[in-house]
Amino acid sequence: MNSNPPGVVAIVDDDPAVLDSLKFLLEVVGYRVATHASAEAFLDGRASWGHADGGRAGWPACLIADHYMPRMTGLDLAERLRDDGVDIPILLITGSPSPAIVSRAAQLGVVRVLEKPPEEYDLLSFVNSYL
Amino acid sequence: MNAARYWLSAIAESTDDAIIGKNLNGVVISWNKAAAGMFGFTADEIVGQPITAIIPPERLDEEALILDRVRRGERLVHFETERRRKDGTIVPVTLTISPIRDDAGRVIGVSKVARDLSEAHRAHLVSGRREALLSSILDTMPDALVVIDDRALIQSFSTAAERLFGFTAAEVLNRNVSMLMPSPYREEHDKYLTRHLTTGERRIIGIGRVVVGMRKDGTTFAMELTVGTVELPGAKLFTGFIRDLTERQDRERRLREMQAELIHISRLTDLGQMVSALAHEVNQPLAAMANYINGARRLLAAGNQAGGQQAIERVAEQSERARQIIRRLRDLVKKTDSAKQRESVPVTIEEATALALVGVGQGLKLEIRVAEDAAEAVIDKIQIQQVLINLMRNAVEAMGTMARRELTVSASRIGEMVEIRVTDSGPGLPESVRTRLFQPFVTTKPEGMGVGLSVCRSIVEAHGGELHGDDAAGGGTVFRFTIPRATAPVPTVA
Repeated sequence: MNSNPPGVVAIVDDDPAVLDSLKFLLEVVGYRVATHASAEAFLDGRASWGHADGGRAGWPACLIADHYMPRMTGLDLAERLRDDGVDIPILLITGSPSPAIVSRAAQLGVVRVLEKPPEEYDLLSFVNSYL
Repeated sequence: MNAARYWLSAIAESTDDAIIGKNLNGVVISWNKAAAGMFGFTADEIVGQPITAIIPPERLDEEALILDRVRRGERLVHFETERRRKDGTIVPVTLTISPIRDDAGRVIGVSKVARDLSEAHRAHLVSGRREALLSSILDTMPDALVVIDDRALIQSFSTAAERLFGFTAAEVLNRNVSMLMPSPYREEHDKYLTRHLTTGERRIIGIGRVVVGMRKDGTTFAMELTVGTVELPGAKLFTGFIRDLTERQDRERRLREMQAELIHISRLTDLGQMVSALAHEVNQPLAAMANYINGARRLLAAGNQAGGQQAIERVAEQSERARQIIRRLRDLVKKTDSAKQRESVPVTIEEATALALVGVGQGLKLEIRVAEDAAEAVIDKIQIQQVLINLMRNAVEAMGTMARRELTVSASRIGEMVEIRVTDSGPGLPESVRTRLFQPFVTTKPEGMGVGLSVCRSIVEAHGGELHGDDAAGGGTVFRFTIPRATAPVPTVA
């Protein structure tokens, strides 16, 4: 559905209201946003973006992912991307940033872990670093 | 009469078979009790009379033939024929006929043993066999059976009951069944029975219930009791089938049923999980609201009134969503007031105790005391049972494997409230825990979530009462809480 061209912020969250509100905020600030209702839906976009072997030219600039999702969690998604050699910057949002989640996120090179609901400043400064 | 003859005569009197002696002319010489029952003539009526009195006219020839053969020293075994009762009715019999000889070996008379073959008699025999079958079934059945009479005296105590309670049948027969119950049921049982016999009120009859039993060694256990009544002419018996819930298989089966019945209890156990799931749910609308508001603030600052307005509509939706979630959370712990009704305090405690003690095993002494003026309260029974189960499970866990494990649950009146106390003989509360006892997530258990006591307190407070934990007088811990006392008498339920 979304073509996810470069210069876009990708958001993955299974909660439609959270997804829509994040898109709304980021668009108001001036970013282009692509939303995905699940980790699987995000991964489905890879074919059209080109594989990341030679860098991630066709990919979204950064990814904001909810951790607590059915089937595939935000961390599972991060692991899958890293396994595929994709080093897209990731912001993970989770209701309870337990030590286990934080340390696994660090291993996977997740840039930041924010507790839900995240502060606007933290969100925007993450996106701002890559766009 | 010498001893051997005395015995013989006693045997002749006690057998079910008619034993008749007659001389060679067919005159009756002796006539036992069974003969009187079978043919309707008393010994006085028939001794000295010809035996033909009990022979149907068409069989008179047969009798002559028999006498003839016996005179020659022959013996007839299980000869099937018919005889006639005093009232003229015919009775089918099988006869064993032998000659009686004097010291010289001469035949001087005839002994006739007659067995009744009629339906009525056969039914009597069959019922005897059925009784034997029943008793063998009862002996091999895993459920225990205790039969009492209308004075609560034990009339029958099956093999399984012996195993379950540790008493032999001989130790309990004709003793009051209340010996198998802990206080206060022990003292109350006669009253229940008397009330049932006089008013017909049924509190347990025909309904399976979980109650507490007491073994010979004084330990208590949860059991499922089903009581039935047997009306006999002139007597009323009560049968109690008992299933031990501490036995593993049944325990698991029954636990599953109970969880279905009392979903609240499993809710309580899963509360830790529930809290984190709900926190996640509440966080979703909160996160969305924060995003919409931040965006709206920017739009409004830039003069985009319409866009800001739209975003605020979204905020209102998410705020309503959060409210719904919070309401569901509240419903989980605190039901509406309509669920509160007049309940029996002893029954509430008894059922909770039985549930709390499921799986606890042997070696725990339980005492329940409910003062008469604290017998009824206006409560949400399931919620108060949750509190009781929680406090009792805590108590049992605190006592661990200590040698002396005593749990006392008592209730008494304090003003317009009923105070319930759960006292254990455990090590008592550590000082560090005591002051923060009811804060969520404070626990003395390595794996506990620690939300139990704070939920208990919420439930008690929703009943207008208070919950406190303290040192018990003889060491250990006592938790006490209050619930509103019922003032008018409970209407009796038929």
